[in-house]
Amino acid sequence: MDLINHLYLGFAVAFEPLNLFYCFLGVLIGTLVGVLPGLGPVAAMSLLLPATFHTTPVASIIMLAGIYYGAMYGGSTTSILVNIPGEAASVMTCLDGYQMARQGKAGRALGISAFGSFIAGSVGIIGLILIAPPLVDFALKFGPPEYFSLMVLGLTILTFLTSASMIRALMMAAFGLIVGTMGLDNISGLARFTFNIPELLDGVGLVPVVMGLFGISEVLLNIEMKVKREVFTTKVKGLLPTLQDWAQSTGAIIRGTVLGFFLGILPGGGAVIASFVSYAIEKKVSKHPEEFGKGAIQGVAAPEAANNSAAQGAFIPLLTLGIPSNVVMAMLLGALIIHGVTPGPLLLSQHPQLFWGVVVSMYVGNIMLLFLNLPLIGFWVQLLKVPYSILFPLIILFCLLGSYSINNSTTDVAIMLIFGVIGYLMKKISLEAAPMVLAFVLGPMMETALRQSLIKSKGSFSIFFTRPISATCLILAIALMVIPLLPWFRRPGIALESEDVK
Amino acid sequence: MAQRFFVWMGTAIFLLALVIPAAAQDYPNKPINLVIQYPPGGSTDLTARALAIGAKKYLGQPVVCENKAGGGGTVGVALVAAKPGDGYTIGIVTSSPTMAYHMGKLNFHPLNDLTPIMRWGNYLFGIVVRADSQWKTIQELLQYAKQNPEKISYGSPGVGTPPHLAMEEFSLVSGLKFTHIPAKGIAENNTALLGGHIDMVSDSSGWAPLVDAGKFRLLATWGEKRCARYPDAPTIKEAGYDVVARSHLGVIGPKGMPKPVVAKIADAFKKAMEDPEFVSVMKKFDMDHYYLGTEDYTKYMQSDFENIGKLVQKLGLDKK
Repeated sequence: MDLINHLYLGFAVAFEPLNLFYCFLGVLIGTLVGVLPGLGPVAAMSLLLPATFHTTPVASIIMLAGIYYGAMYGGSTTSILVNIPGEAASVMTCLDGYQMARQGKAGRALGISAFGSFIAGSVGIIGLILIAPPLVDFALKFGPPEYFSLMVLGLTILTFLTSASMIRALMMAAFGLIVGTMGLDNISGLARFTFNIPELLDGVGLVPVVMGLFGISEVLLNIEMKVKREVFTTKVKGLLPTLQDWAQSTGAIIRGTVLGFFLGILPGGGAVIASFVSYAIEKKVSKHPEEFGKGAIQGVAAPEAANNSAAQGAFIPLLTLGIPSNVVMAMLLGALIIHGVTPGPLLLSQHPQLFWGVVVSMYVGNIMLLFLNLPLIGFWVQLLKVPYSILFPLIILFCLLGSYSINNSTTDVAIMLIFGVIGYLMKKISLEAAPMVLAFVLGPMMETALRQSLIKSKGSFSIFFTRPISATCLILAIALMVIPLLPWFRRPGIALESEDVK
Repeated sequence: MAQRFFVWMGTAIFLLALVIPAAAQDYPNKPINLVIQYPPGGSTDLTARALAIGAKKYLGQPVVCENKAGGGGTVGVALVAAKPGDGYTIGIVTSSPTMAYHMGKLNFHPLNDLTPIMRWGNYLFGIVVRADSQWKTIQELLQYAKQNPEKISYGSPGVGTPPHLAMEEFSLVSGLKFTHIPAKGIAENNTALLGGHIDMVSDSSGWAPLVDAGKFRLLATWGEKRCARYPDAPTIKEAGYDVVARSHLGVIGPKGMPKPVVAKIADAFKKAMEDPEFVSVMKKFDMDHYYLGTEDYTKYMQSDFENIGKLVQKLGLDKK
């Protein structure tokens, strides 16, 4: 069978010593970059890109790809340990992962995160091999109207993210939308909310915002309560996930993988959105939604699986059509071109050993990552035993360095600190950050898609309903909003206002 | 006493004299940031990176590239303009900021707030449609446009970018109307065209791999003459409309850069243009070497400013 031959070729290429070495180097760097808050795979890849010129194209792509999906593994570590997302796609892991760490279950959270990532990554690769071409054709059908409707659907899903009050979640979402408008608008060319600060022309960065909202605010809160609070149960109840954990997480991992893969393929989609949506869906289908936000293991398994399979899915448009679906893929595109390989529909036929070599090495890389991350769990857990008075200055130091390193800009540090204070205040009056972040990510994409669609349709809103995919998403969104209001669907535990629960 | 004083004065002046020109001798003593104003992986990004890698050899310090995309290529330049003119932040520029300025969308002045360093390249811009589209030649497209005003939608890399302004100028000259859907770079345009969400794309040569793969068809190019790689595609000029997309690729810095620093950078980049890697990347994107030294480039920016000002006024796009 043709596929067997291809895989054989892929294994032959991937197991060449040079490629194995670069694969390991890539995933190692990726893990480190993921663990360190702020510095992301893009920065690491752009720094290392010139270094790859001296090797073969295959080796450099293998390494750069390894950095990308390796960062997805590493990003969850600080999310779980200290509530700081190492990567924007690890934000959702903070919600339950950190709570698990506080209950002494850090090892199990880290473990399920590593295993979930591995399973999702592997499935993602299989998906890439088997169903890439028809999937890409489907993804191409997503034009501005479809994106708009998908984003609307995404925003309605945020209503599932709330644990308490719907009104508050919507308030936070509105805040997120407003913050998302900051920057130079691409369609009209007008600068919005930039206060004449040039760095804000590009908008407020996602990474400083989440580092502030989740990480810094948590530190501030802990400092405030240090007299009363004992930070972490130093008694760690086991380093690996228990059988019960596995039983509970299986569904989450499967759902997260599938969702993440499809969202990763959509150009402009990606790991961040995938992690949010999978968390929300997991909460929705759970029999105990009130556990989410307090240390539900599914709340760790689902987003971690989603962000890894999204990372694999993101390769598909690049490898099949030569179209990068996000900034990381664009860097890979550049690397390919510099090496004389022109990505495009002809990549598979012209450079089969590159395509199959990279695909197989992604699987090899995932295995390496599993073996890299699991033994480290013991080490990370020990780190938690460090007294908080020593830990928190280090955390702040890493955050300051990390946020600066994104763009070599002190504006990012300032943004992180400002949102740290905002996040602290939000926590004091029980406003949740997750809906804000989701709206902040989806809002700009939604707005651009809306305006592009309306330009195309010359102002007619019917374009959203006459196109099948767009109409489906919108109807689904409306249904999701309306159904919980209907009396026979009203579930206990989901309140419109927190007073309602009584 | 007086003698002592003069000895000290003399020493002080001597030391000062060493320090001041040494400011240029010392430069560069740390890495230089090069701001690329388009997303990674595109033609600007890759050629600029190749140039930066070449320049490192002659400057002795790495030239670290960062991407700051947005605003059709103006965000990155704005960021450079806001930095101190010490030579450690420079950027890539095209004619886009000048266009944005005349359209009233720029909060800095492309001549007064920047120091021109040198010019190195020019894009290949073209009009592409899907390979399965009904228009096989540019004439067929124009014919259709004449009969169906505003029906054909086209993607550009942003408002005020050269491919956009070229289309606007073309509309003015030919009387044909199109619907403009701005995007944020060639990847978005490629995707939208592949999915059939827009009818054509007017953008720089990022569409080339898809043309080669048979997914897109190049209908015409926007240059003065036909391009070497696709000799079958006529220019818009040949099609009968005297419109040429004007742009260029240059290196600039914030205002007030000391002349010796500018000279050092210009010299390094000029030598880097001969680098085989740079030459091959430029060839891959069909971009022309388009060198001008600092003085000539300053004059070019001046005339570019005036010409574009007139064009924008003619097109009625100015907000003044």
